[in-house]
Amino acid sequence: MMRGRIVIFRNDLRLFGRQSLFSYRALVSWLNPRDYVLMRVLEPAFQIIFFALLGDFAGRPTSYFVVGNAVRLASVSGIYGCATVMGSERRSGTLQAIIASATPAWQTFIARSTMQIVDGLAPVIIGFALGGLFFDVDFGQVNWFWLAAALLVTSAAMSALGTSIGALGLIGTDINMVMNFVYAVLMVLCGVNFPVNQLPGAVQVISQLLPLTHGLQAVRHIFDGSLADVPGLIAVEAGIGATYLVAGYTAFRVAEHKARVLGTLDLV
Amino acid sequence: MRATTNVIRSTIQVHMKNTLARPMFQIVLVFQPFVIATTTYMVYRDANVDDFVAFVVLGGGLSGIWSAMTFSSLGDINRERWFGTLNPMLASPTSLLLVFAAKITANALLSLLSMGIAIVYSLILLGSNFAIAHGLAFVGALGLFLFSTSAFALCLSLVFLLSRTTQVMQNFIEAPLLVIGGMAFPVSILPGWAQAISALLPIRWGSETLRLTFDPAPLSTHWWTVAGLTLLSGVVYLGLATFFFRRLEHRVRYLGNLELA
Repeated sequence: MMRGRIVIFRNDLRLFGRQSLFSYRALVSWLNPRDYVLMRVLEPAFQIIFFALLGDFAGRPTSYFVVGNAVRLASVSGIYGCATVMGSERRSGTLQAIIASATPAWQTFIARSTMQIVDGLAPVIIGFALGGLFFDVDFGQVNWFWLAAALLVTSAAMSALGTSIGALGLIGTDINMVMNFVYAVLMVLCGVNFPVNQLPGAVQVISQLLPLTHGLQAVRHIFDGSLADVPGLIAVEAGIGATYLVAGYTAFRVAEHKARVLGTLDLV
Repeated sequence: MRATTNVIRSTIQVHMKNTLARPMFQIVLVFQPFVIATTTYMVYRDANVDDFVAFVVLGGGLSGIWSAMTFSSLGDINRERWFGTLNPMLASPTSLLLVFAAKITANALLSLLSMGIAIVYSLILLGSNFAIAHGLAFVGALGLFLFSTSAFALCLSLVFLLSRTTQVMQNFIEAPLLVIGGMAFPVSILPGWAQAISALLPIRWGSETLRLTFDPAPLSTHWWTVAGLTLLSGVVYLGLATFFFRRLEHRVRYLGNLELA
């Protein structure tokens, strides 16, 4: 009995992994290696350089800008990749089939978002490498375990936000506008290029509710070698991500229910 | 002549309506100035930065203009290709150059909205610190910036007309030019080789011409020099675009491979 359950679980896990991988490959299938390098390596690198030079001109340590923007760039996969997964199924005419299939639709979308969490780390690694080679990013005090944990949790939290935006899109909101608005907000309110405490008080409250703020703070602490607050910050980031995931799940269930009752999933 | 004017006028009108309706364009026009102006303001506020006000206004406004122009001008080609209308455009009596020049002019006019947003937002951020010392020169410099960057965008559209990489390039090309364009920080902080590349770009000269209008000192010969370089670079890129568009039209008519590039 127990052995049978383990086999089923392993099979589910294998299917989950295949789903993630195939979905990711489908999403980037239009990219050839040259385009991938342009979009996923050089473009993020130039964004990081732009803000690092901005900081350099102001006489501030460029490492602050390199680290902030490298971590922020994980949101490109997290927000855009995850938010567009559901919309692209609707555009392809396959959303109804996914809803009607035996596998819970939410599980399918979570599997499809999983690879985005890993992919989101690519520009972060490129940014750190750039920072180490050309700017004043010092890895001397970095605890690699905590750095990996902080980056993974931050990327997952941003993917959760992206997934909840995608679920909102099923109810009928124009997610293109929402996605880009959220991306801009993360850039300004999460301490990417300047500390959150420079913002007006009320805006700081919003910052605390966004993914990236605490994760980025944890990463900065890790680079400074002060690990005391790191587990707490990562836990808060994970909590924020989980909250967005629950919000996304609720929005998705509402859309799914509405679709089954009214048959309008492809019509919103 | 009248027919040409009609083509330009109607293309600008239709293109402005179509472009404004696209969410992506609205996003670039509105969010880009907001993000860059806020960031430059917060980073430069407590630092002893020369031309602080100019960089906040121009960082937001010009990056918005440039992003709107690249996203839209290169995206326009991609859209025509997807719609299958590139060949009918080529076959029509109006030249491709004229149609694309009119489209880019429409994008340039719309992108002024970014500058408007950046100015109003900077006014809110900076309060009494906000001042453009030479208002008339600012307007003239903005006109020069739009003309020269439009000519440059026309050249880019020519390159990407024959390429399938347009979608990737329209996303990629924005960031490097923000780095070497001198919009949010002076190009003098860049390494020598980057400054040399930057000197070939009208964006760099246009940014500097605009920035100097914030300086309360009377306009010097330096301003006239960089204004002249902005105009000159615009004329050169327009000349290159005209020459190569004609060559391209002839080539694709002969080979019939406009859709196959």
